[in-house]
Amino acid sequence: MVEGEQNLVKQAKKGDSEAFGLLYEHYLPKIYRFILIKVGHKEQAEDITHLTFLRAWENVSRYQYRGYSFSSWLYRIARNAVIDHYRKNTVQISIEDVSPEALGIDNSLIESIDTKIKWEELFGAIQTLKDVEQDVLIMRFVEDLTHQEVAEAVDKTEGAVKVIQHRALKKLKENLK
Amino acid sequence: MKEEYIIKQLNSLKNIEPGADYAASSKLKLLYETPQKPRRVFLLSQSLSTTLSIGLAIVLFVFIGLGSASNIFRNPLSPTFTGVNQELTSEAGKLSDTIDIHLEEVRYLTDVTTNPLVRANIQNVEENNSTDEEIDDLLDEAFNL
Repeated sequence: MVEGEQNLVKQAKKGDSEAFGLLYEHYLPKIYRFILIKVGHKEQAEDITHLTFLRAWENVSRYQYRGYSFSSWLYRIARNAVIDHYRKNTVQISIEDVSPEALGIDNSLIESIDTKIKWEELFGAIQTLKDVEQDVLIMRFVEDLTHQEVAEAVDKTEGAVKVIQHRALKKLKENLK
Repeated sequence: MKEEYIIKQLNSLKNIEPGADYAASSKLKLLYETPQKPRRVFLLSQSLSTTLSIGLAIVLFVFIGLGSASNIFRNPLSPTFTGVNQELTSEAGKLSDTIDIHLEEVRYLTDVTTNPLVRANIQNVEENNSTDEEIDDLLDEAFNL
């Protein structure tokens, strides 16, 4: 959560673009990462990320805290944008597409060939999971959301999220053997 | 392979960041090039519909109020004669309706000079004098109670 988030959201609801800009800067990396890992393609991830924030900006006046934090609300929009993207485009991802280079990941972050291989395998393995399983793992272990925040974002109970997390990790373990 | 190791690998994906150029251009397009109208139109339409709803509610209350007030003036007997025979009361009510109809006819008939059709109707009004006498009798009876 960004500092003074409630106030920023309040200002953004009134149409304050600077306030929304600060929210954008805080959440852009998280939403972009979430979408990139799911779609496995840099340009598509950029387009979907932009669409996510566009929808958020257009509808922020309607946002009310009814049990959903602002971040969960953003993740919900992102999930729906990815679903819409899959509906409109038949996406087939090959292992080459999920290489760190193809994903636009800075080579300086890849410390060794070993790390690079692991990332390629990891991305490939994540792609084999169900959508909600991907969502839960990314939100929990990449973005550090709590079980409650994940539950709000995927519209499930906390208990269901824990079960999905457990199953997803088990599948990943089997795929990465 | 242990779960902790997989979780650690997932954690390492935190380092992925969008390009700086993309972030800047996307923000510019979003905040300064996106038309503001849809949001404002939504807010404007919300305020208009709220104003209209309140206005309609006020007009409705005024009409209800006027209707109640005119009802009281038309039926002066009903709030004061508590011991009046029920049958007589309902008949007096029916008669007050008849009086209203006749009043309407009188207003219509005052337009005698301009409307030839009105003149033709005058004859019809004069033929209904017997009803007027009945009204007078019943009213006398009611006042004498």
